[in-house]
Amino acid sequence: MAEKIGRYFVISDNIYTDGEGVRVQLVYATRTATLMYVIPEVADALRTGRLDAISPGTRAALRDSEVVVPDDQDELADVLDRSRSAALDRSLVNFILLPTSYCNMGCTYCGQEHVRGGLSADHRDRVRARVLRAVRLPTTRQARIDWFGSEPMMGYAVIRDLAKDFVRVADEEGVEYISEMTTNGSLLNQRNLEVLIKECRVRKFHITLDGPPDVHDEHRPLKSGGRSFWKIVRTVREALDNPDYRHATFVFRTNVDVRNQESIPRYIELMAHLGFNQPNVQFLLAPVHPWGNDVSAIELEGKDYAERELGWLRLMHEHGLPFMRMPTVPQRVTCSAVKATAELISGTGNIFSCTDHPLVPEAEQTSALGHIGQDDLPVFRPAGEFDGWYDEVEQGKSWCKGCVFLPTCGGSCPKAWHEGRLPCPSYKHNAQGRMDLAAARLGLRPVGAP
Amino acid sequence: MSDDPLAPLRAAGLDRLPEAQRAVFEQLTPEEMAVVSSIQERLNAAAPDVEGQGNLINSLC
Ligand code: SF4
Ligand code: SF4
Repeated sequence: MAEKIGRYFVISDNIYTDGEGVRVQLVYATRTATLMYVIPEVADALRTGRLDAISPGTRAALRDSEVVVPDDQDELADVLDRSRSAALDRSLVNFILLPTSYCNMGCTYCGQEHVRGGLSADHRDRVRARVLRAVRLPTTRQARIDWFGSEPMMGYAVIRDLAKDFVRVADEEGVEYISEMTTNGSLLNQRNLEVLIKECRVRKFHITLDGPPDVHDEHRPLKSGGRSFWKIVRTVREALDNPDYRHATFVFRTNVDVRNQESIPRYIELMAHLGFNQPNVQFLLAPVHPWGNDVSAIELEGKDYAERELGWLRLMHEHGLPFMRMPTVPQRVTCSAVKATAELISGTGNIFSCTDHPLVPEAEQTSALGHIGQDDLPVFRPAGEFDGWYDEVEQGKSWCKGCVFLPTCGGSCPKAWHEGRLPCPSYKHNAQGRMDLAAARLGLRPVGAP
Repeated sequence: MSDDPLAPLRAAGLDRLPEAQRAVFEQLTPEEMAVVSSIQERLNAAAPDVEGQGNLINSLC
């Protein structure tokens, strides 16, 4: 079959060496999210379109990672079609649940409005019935339940109550059960972690730490006026020593803005010193985004952030803290907002497709797709604002149509594009430096570097 | 130095691959073969990398 060099890959500018004769370049194949190490002649052949200069063995590997594709393939159409069918795939059902409308933190950048009180007993039962109906569908193979907030641990009793039924029925139906929690971490302790991991089968905790203690506690103050950094860190550190929790992952996310960026190196050094360089820990940095319509100005800010971020990632690398250098899994579905079988049920009972909507006063009033109290709710949520996202990409309504990272990024955040914000992930701007870090992981350094 | 052209693959544990995949390696140039096995040895020795998708843009997503 005739073949061509495709369009979805990035070649490292640098040639890397181990100082003992190995010379390689990196090729990051975005359709399969794979990093390949090739001799510079292959990188050169890819760059100049000389497929015949590549050996059959390397060509086969490039075919596997979809750098080399059938000659008649329309790659954009192929990428979008895969995403469209993944977005419609009924074998995975995803519920993002807010067990309460309250949060015990008052973070400066949060747009939610928090009121006390969990789901009413009636709402709780309706949520339970709705999730279980989806789990029991003959098409369902995988059920993913995400506990989300506000602060989900303010509704710990609700989580326990609902999760026990979700887990039981998933087991009965032979459905794979996956559960994650996004929490500020301040209410976690060894007792509830034991229950969450073992009974509720939460396998991943996304916890936000916005810097070293003084900075985090100012960025993310407790509404009571108290501090949370050391409580969170001590709890997770102790959990990491528990061999029963090896399969649970703790992701530390840091929201970076102008007020905490100078303290990030201090935070990284502290976390390394505290022993968080463990296989079931991940560190993640993310910019807090400004709002506005002038995307070119934001693009510059994105580039500026990416450059700074690279310095922090380098520091993490030096300290052995685990972080993702480049995505290793293609982003078949951009986010819950484009997936027909994913929905978020707010603490108010409103149903949304986008996780940015619940508890934001205007969105609660205007963007709800339904309410858990309705008797006529369809099995899967009604259509939402972002369901046509892949058509929008195809029509060129964002920059994603021509972007080499579309298969690993999916367009990042449809809501941001609709609002005139530019949501490109940092690796769009700092992929070259990230590839340096991927090579460094294997003890390889750029030729010419000291 | 061994005369066996597949020695680098054996050193990296790649000779245990299924037949079809091994055949791919046998179609590499000697220089590529040396690189593949050296990289594989390094991958075997490195701590596991963090895996996953990369969408982090929204502070809540
Ligand atoms: S959001 Fe940005 S990086 Fe992602 S596909 Fe679109 S243009 Fe590319
Ligand atoms: S549209 Fe954006 S904010 Fe909404 S769920 Fe998707 S990534 Fe999150």
